[in-house]
Amino acid sequence: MASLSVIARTASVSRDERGTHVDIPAGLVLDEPVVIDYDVADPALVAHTFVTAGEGARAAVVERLTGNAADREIAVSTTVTAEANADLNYTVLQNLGTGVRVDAKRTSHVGAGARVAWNVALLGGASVTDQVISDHTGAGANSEIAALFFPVAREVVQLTTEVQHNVPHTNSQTVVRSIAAGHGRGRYFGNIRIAPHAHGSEATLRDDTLLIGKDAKIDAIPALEIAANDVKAFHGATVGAIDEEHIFYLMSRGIERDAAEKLIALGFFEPAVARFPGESLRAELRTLLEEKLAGARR
Amino acid sequence: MTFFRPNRTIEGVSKRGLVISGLHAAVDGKEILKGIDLTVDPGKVHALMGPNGSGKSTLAFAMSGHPNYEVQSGSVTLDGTSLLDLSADKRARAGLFLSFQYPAAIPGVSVANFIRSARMALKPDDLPPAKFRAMIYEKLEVLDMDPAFLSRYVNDGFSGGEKKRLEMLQLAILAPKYAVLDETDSGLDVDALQAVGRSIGALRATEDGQDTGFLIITHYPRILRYVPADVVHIMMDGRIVKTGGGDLAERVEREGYDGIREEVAGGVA
Repeated sequence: MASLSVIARTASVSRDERGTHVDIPAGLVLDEPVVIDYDVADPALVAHTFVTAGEGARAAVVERLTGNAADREIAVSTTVTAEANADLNYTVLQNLGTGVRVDAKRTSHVGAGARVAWNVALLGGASVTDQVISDHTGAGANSEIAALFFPVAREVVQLTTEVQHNVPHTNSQTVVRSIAAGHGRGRYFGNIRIAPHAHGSEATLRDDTLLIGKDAKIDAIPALEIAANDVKAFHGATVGAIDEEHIFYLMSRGIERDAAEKLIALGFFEPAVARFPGESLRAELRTLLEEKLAGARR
Repeated sequence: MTFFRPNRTIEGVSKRGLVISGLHAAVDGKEILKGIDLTVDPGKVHALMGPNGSGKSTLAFAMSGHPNYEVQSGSVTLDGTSLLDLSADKRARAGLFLSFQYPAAIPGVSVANFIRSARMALKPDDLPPAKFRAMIYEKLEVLDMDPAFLSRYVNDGFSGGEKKRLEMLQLAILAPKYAVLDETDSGLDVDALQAVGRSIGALRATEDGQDTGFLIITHYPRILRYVPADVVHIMMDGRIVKTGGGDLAERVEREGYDGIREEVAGGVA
């Protein structure tokens, strides 16, 4: 008896009152990213996204969160499910206006042999809380989180990343870069949890912070809970001002102090920026960072 | 033959040369330079030699405006422009270039971006992008450098030789009026030294670089085989103790610094 199976050939993107649903069927490889634009100027905006990548599917989703509205408060959520051997890249470009307060919670469930890469750039908003949690549900799951944030003036940003190694032989890499300038305030919680039976897991967490001016402040609070034996976990962090020797070197080539600081600050974000997918997206991000840096006061 | 000029710059009279007069400078409150008088003439190669700790690098940093080097008295003028009140970037824009012995690594900033920024700061809008690109490739070839260098981060993970080559690439592209090379030869193998010599020779053959005056700071005379010096100065304990022609470097090679030290001490006694 021959059986007929119908394989969906395209990803489906639909919107309803609950939010935006992106379904990438098993086996589908998307060459172009699925782009979701959320503009907070729309009073009816529902910024909840549900992404499912079927077995072996491969895709990238880009969420742009932009716009401004006076005294606006929004809740954002993302739920990503990557089934076995799927590969999903989820990018957030948050560039909200100064009237917006945002509370975002993003979660991924990563199946056996699957990979989820989060790339999160938090560039705007008066007060921002963003949480990225990746939960490993199948052996061999892999999470990569690259995040950057940049509070200036009186902006406040709190970022949490958490990788839950719940099953054996799963890997994660977290890279966070942050700069605060002016009276910008930031806080970063970097959590790695390796459950008792998650042996053979490897986790790295790297967070680096640059403070421009004496009133800027970012606290980084790492927490590594490792309950299994036979795992590898690495954490490294730095916090400080721009190295005067670096500034002197650039100035000795005729570059003004201000321009030297900007070059160095942009370069500082680069290890996180380099993980964002696609040259055009990286170029867009660099331009946004440059614009923000141009307006930043010490 | 060297002609020493008066050490004072008369206001309103522009005087060509990189003129260091009665320069005293300290690091962490300790006086290192104890009265330096030295003039680098346009288009000439001067070598500044001396044993370790004699103050050669301090002179380079003090002239360039490094914040840790405190000038106590004296003056430095570049073709009549007084440098000491200027910030480091303005000194560079006046025409001074320092090749660092240990240049800083700046992660995230590509060599291409850095060099373009520096060239724009020094010579705004003088070359269309395509010509600038062609020029960089030409200079890379002279220095035996892979174009892949351009996309690497400035000095990040570079070997000692690669760092020196990058300094020489900048020198070639920025074509300053006066270049101070601080121990460019240290840690270089013969191939790299030859590349440095070729690059400096090529710069001096261009219209932009033919008047560039060089102050080559070195412990060993071997770099002078590739870039022959017109004038050699010997520095000891924060002072220039002897000045002569290229043959003085040969004497250092033969006798070391001890012979000169004894001669200088004898002359004083």
